[in-house]
Amino acid sequence: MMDHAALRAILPQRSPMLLLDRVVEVVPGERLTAVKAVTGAEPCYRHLPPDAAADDLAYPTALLVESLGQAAAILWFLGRPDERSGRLPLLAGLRDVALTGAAYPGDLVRHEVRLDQILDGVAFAVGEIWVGERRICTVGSLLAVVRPPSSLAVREPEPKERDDDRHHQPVRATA
Amino acid sequence: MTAASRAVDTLAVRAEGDLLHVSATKVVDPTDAYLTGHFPGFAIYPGVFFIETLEQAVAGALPGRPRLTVLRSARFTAPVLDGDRLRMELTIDHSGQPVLARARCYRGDGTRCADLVAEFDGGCP
Repeated sequence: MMDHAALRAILPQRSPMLLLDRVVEVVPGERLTAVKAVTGAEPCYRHLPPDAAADDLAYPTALLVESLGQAAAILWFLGRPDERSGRLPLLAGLRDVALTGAAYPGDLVRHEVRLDQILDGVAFAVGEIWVGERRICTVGSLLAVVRPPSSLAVREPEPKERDDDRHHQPVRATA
Repeated sequence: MTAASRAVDTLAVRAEGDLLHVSATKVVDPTDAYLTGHFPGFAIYPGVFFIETLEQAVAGALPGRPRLTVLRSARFTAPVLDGDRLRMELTIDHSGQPVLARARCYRGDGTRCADLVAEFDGGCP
């Protein structure tokens, strides 16, 4: 088991974007189970209208998927601590994310993630998100990369439209 | 629907038969609650927030409370940083259910930064 302090030591995200509370089970290099408690105190609930219905309080998809991604990052970095040294983990791709339910304030969200493949600086993971006995999301494939911050700050000097597919480069070459 | 964050600043919609052509923009705000933690001192628009931008753009273009059911694919190919202006060009096909949305995203400098394809339920024109 890993508590929140141990997760903070591995992940560079910070509150309120550190969306993982505890790892409850891990088989290094293979699979991991982690939990995150959803609470009404999170910033996403700040601007709800006063008459918001119960249904309106579904936890945002973006934050659910980020939370699962952080669970995958923990699993990745536990096996390869050198990967994250001086670098930031970034989400590079998702495939076949099916949303079959929702989480609400008070729910304990559970991520079941598995590593599919690891390359140098690149990880592929699959996962499921559960609330109790309800599976609320399936992630067919998640692709993450690590990048030094200095490589991300470079900007294109010329404002120029680049619309067509010929310029669409693979993730590894651009991020 | 709860939003992770304000993920659309401007929205323009043009109808063409069963298609809606949508252009949504968002300037990355480093003071946004979630961005202060992603990452401290170095704000990067999180990849997952493109999903939020997509959901808010579709909800703004299509009445009937469309709900994201399947994200078929998403690719994040260039970072969008503090102060960058993100533009999402979106085509929504609402000829049947599920509604199909295809998005291409560009940074202010024109660099293509993300592509998404997603299915929505419940939206009506």
